[in-house]
Amino acid sequence: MKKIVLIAFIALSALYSRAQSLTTDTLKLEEVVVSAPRLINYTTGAKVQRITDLTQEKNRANSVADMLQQATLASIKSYGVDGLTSVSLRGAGSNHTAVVWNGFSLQSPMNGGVDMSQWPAGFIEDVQVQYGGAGALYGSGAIGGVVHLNNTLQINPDFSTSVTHQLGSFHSYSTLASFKMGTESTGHALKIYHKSAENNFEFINTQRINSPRERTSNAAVKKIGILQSNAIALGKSKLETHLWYEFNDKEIPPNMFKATNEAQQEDEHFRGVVSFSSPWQQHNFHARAGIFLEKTDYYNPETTDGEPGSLSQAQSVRTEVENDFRVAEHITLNTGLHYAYLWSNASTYPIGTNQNRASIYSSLKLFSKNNQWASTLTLRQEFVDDHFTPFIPSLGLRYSPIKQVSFQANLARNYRLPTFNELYWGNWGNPDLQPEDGYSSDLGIKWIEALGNNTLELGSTVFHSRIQDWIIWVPAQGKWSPDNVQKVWSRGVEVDAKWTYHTGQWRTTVNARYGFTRSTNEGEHSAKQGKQLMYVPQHETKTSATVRYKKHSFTYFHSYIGKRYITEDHSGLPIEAYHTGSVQLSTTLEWQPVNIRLAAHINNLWNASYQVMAFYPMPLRNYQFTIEFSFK
Amino acid sequence: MKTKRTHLQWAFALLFIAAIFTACDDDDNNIRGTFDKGVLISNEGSFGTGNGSISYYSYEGDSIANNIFQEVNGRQLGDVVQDIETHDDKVYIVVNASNKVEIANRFTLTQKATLEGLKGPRYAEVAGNGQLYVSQWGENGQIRVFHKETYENADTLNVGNGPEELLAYQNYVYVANGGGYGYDNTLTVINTNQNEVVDTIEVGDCPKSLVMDANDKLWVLCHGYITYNNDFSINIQTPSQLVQINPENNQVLQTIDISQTMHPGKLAISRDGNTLYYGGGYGVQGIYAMNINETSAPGEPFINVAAYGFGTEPDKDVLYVGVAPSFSESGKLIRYDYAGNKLGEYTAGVGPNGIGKTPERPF
Repeated sequence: MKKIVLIAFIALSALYSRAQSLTTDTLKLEEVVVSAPRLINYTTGAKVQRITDLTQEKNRANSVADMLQQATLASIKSYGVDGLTSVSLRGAGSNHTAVVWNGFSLQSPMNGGVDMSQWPAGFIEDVQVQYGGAGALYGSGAIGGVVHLNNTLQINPDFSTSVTHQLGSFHSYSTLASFKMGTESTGHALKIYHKSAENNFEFINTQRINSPRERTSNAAVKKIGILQSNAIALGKSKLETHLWYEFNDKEIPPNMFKATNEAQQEDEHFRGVVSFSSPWQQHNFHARAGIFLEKTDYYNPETTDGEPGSLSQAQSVRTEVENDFRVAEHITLNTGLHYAYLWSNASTYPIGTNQNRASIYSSLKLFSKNNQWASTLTLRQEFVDDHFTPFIPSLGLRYSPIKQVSFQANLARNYRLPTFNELYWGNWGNPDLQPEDGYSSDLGIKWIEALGNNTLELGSTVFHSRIQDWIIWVPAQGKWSPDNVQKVWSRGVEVDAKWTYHTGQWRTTVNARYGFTRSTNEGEHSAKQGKQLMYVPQHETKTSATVRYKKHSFTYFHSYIGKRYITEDHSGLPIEAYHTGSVQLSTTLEWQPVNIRLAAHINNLWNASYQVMAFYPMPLRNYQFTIEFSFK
Repeated sequence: MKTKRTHLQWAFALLFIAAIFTACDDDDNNIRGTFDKGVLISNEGSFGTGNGSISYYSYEGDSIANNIFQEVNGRQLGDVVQDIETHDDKVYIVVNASNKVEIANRFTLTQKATLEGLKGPRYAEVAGNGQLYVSQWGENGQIRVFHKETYENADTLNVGNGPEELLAYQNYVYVANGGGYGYDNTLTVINTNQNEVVDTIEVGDCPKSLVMDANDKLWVLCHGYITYNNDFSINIQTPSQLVQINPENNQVLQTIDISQTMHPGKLAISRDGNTLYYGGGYGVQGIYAMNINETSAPGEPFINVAAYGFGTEPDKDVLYVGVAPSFSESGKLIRYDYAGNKLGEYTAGVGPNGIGKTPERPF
């Protein structure tokens, strides 16, 4: 393996040095330096879905997770309202989906998960979902896909300020305030979010005698978030900082079997990123560094072990340098180094638990003059402490025979490094674990046709992914321990359609997405063999229709999630399939320079009694009212 | 004429068949429900997913039916089915992490009531007075007593730390104070006439499981006390023991050391009351058999199986062993005869941990 890496890099550097001589002055560099070169330039062949501004605007005070749930085929698992919320893509687990914020993965060193429940959509300007494996581009954990969250801030932005209040059922109040300003060479933004909710909603408790109507208890939350960003122009270079603090104090409600619960939890996160981008001749140089602190304080007075509290915390620092080089007119080369140091002083790990991760990655992109075709080859080699992880290549292709049609193909090897819990937890962790290793491929077609006032977009992707060495906890010598024993085969089809009709002041948009996913347990001769993984629906659809007239809009969302199993061998009852619908009405009143947007939401319009996670009730029909003042 | 006789023959034949069916109906009337001729098995389920369940092993079909509570009542039992107790026509299902006891008809599994508001309930036992005694870890260890018909909480008694199994004998209930997450080394004796604690017997460390033998002597399985370091490696451990007690005067007759490092959690007794079986629990490989007249513990297991739970039953010379390969898939029920021969293996629910027809004095 080492040999291959070496050969590849010799080849690449040869190309690199030869290409330098081809540099010509005729190439015009863009004024704005792209701070996420990999996402924008090197995801060739992958299906990347950008959440439109319109969707974001409607959801500003709601969570990023709600927005992904409505607008994408991402699977959002949430324990009730405001409970732990994770995202996964294409039938993989939640620690198989990377969530990348301003260039760095937010996966917890402890369990590989990311809790999205606290994030208001208004904190993130640019949300994109990359479906399918992207291990070579984004490293460990990018198996099912990547959710990209980017803060974009221009130099010298127009002064603006807005305050959004949202009032909802179950005593839910949230406020999002944002300010933006700048000077000729700077930009500054501040966002503050506060939410409190009782979440004492009614539901039908099908798990008690005679299915009584009950109210959830011990479900209140308080959340605070602050995100401060700066951008500074230094000649043609740009320096950005993003500092994000959040605090979440929540009660943990009982599931449907239990009458009461007294547990509560406080989560605290600090995330900070500094990034520097600088163009020089045919190069765009990027350096970024981040620090990530997480702390969870769980308290359960019902615990009978005499220790009702448990505190866990983990930290990481990550740095990256990356150079995007226009080798020739139709060749670019992006090469980077990533280093991360992760550590935890949680008492369940050995004292001084830490990990060093270093990777080197390189992407070579070739594209035709009129961009009719493009191809990207990416290679990554990661070292964890003194071990090599698998050598990770990927190849993406895009070809447009005619302007309206493009074909995409992607082939990637992917991996996931074991987490601290898997390696070190108690005396059950297994320090000899290998990374999970697999490959994925997908093939897609996209067709866009504009006919008069109509625009129609159709896309379909088939995908296939295998993971060997999937880590699960198994009994060995009378104790439970994680091991690389499971094999998982995921495959499926996604169909996306969008129709837009535009006339005068009217604009109608209809979106429909369908996902078929088979994600099965393979290679084990037991009752689990060939069975769909837990919590992965075989069918899901997400549809929405929006009608806009001037500044008024009406939207209907509908989602269908198919039946899901909650045991690996499908014993017992699955969670039933469910449909949910919601309506949003919005209008904006303009008295320049003040705008007032009013919105009303009706959630769970059809009053469905459903569960996302087994036996955690979700609310019946409920309402939200939003008023937003903005000043430009 | 010939055809006429044929008709008559048909008529007789039909009458005969009808008579058989009627006879069968009569037989059916003696069956008290679908789940009459067999044993009930409790399956713990995986914590947090509410899939604790009851299985039914039928003698007649030599087969198992899973999830029967849910099949009958259209709802699931909840998190961590710790114990089932059958008494007369009722089954009491202790659902530990859901803080409740579900009561259903033992033969039809039709739901009757839910006892809520318990705090970490563990085991249930019906005493001679018909009242239900439930051990719970909450409030520093208590026994909650429920009225047999109204299911009202008649009494609450403070006992030792982490009370586990209970055993009803004459006008008494013996409680094994297992220590919970801490330590205890006592049995509490409750007089069921007044519902009062009348005695506390010192035994080995962390007693968990109780049976009565053929000579009316009480046996206590003591798990041994284990403390862990921060990284969950074992700090100290004391031996597991069997303690024999004379219930006439609550005196300890003898204490037999089992092992310094193996800590079994379950004790059962053969149908004739002469052989003790112990084993089961975390990290314990095998079920051990010991005659009640022996004075030292056997060195080798009687059946080499990693039992998650096991039990005997009063109608047949059979050991029922639950095996849990993981907690996200079905476990297995294995039946053995008293010679240790495997009689059959069946797919059970998740984490099979006990059988609900094991009186502690099955003879």
